Amino acid sequence: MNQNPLLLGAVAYDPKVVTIWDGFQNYFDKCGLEFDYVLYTNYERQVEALAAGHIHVAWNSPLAWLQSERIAGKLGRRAEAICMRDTDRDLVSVIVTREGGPVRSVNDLKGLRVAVGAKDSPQATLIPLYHLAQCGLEPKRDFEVLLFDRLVGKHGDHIGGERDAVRALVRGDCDGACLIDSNLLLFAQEGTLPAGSVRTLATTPEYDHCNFTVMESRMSSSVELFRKLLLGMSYEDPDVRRLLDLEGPKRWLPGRTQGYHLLSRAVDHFGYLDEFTAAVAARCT
Amino acid sequence: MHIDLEDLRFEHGGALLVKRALRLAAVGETVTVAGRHPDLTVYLRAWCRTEGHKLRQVDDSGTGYAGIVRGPAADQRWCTAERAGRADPRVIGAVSDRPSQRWGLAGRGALVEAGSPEFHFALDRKMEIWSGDAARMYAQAAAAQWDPATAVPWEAAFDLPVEVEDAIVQAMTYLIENETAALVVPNRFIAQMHPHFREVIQLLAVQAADEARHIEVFTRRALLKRKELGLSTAGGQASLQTLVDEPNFAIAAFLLSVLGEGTFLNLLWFL
Repeated sequence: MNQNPLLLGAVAYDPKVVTIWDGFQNYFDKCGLEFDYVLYTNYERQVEALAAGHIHVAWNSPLAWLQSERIAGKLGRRAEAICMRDTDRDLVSVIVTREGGPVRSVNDLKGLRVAVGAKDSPQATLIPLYHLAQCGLEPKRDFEVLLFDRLVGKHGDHIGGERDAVRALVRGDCDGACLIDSNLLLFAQEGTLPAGSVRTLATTPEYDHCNFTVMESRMSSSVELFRKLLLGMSYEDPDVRRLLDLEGPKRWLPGRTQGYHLLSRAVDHFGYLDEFTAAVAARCT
Repeated sequence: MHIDLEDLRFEHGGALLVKRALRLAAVGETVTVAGRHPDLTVYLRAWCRTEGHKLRQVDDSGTGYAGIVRGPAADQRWCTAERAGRADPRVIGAVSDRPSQRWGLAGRGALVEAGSPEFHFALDRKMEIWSGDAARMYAQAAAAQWDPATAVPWEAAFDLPVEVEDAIVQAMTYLIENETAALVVPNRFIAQMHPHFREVIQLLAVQAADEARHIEVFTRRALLKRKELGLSTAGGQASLQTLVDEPNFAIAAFLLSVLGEGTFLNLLWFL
């Protein structure tokens, strides 16, 4: 067993997470990087572990990135997003309604009920609800929010909440539903959404999703090698392709942080992060 | 290249047309997609991201219109693929001397993606397995199939002395046991044989189907006048076990097809 590996944290939102990181461990080992990983049941635990120095890199959701960035700020440190998937860039969420139903525009949702995913899901709850607020419809004031709080702590990585939300829409239990565009496509293809059953009312601005987060200067040479190996992965390599197909991207890209502004404004609007980030910062001081 | 989906929804068939258009385009080439469904660009954006294509010129104002720049992922997936021999065994080099275990269950002649899992087919040498005659023999066997339900007049009336009927049921019981061995033996080898040698596997499979039919007619005959079968002896089973356990196909085939089936033909003529 390696004595001083680069230690990565990931959240176990699905059994395949073990297969993915075992595969990456094997790949990094062949490339000369001592690497190991720790699985957490929720992002909050992982964010605190990164801040406390228990892990060197965190495979963070966008919300976990904001949590890490804000905690780092309170500690006088700096969080860095070093790498992300090509599929993490320029996502959008959609607000959909039943095709042929009475709702013709976002404004028609006033006084009605809108289904969302888990309460900590950026893509299925925070960002689309913020978008509706920007359109003049404040959640819980101007419309009822039907929450499908599946696996809270996993920040919506488990898509069960979104699936439940659109099922509720199709059943007629609500008048609108919020989800990420890729799941709208998935649910249509798998039949969760029958042909022609819904239409899009609104599309949010683009935002970014996960990234590998580090706190500055920790294990810098290993982190640099980790990043270099990720960015060097080619979809042509069958061993790499197997891992990329499990994780979703066709290639890794350098991390960027300009795609998190929308979520940042959303959590500020809903006052979502303050208590947690202050508590973790206090414990890590 | 341009494709107009008109009223067709992307998620209900339109995706197939877009995929086809992109397949004909070169990496980096733009395919423009138009359509009248208002959600077209919503689905296109999500699909392109998943498939590794770039989406440009999005027009969300009523009529959907977008440019898709074909990404390299599909080409990258197949650029290291390998052709698993040739489908037609008459082509020179069609049948590999020792096919890769990573060709696995792929049909001979298929393009196999690199990184496919490694199988463990123990019988993988052409010299030991292959016969140029296998395809002809399989075709002959397949053409000679018969239906036990109609080939035998099962409803025909007959009346035999009790002792004779008992003897026939016993003979049928013995035959069923032997036909079962004849079914198991080729199947045992089929499971170990590399699928690259398709015609040989097909020949053994049609033989197994023949034996299954034999089991059916012997069982059916035995139960015409009786509710149960006859006796199965320890000695008989021990003899057949040596056949089932025989690891060498040539010996197993000789014992089964020449000695076993030869004896059977004599027995059936006698009956």
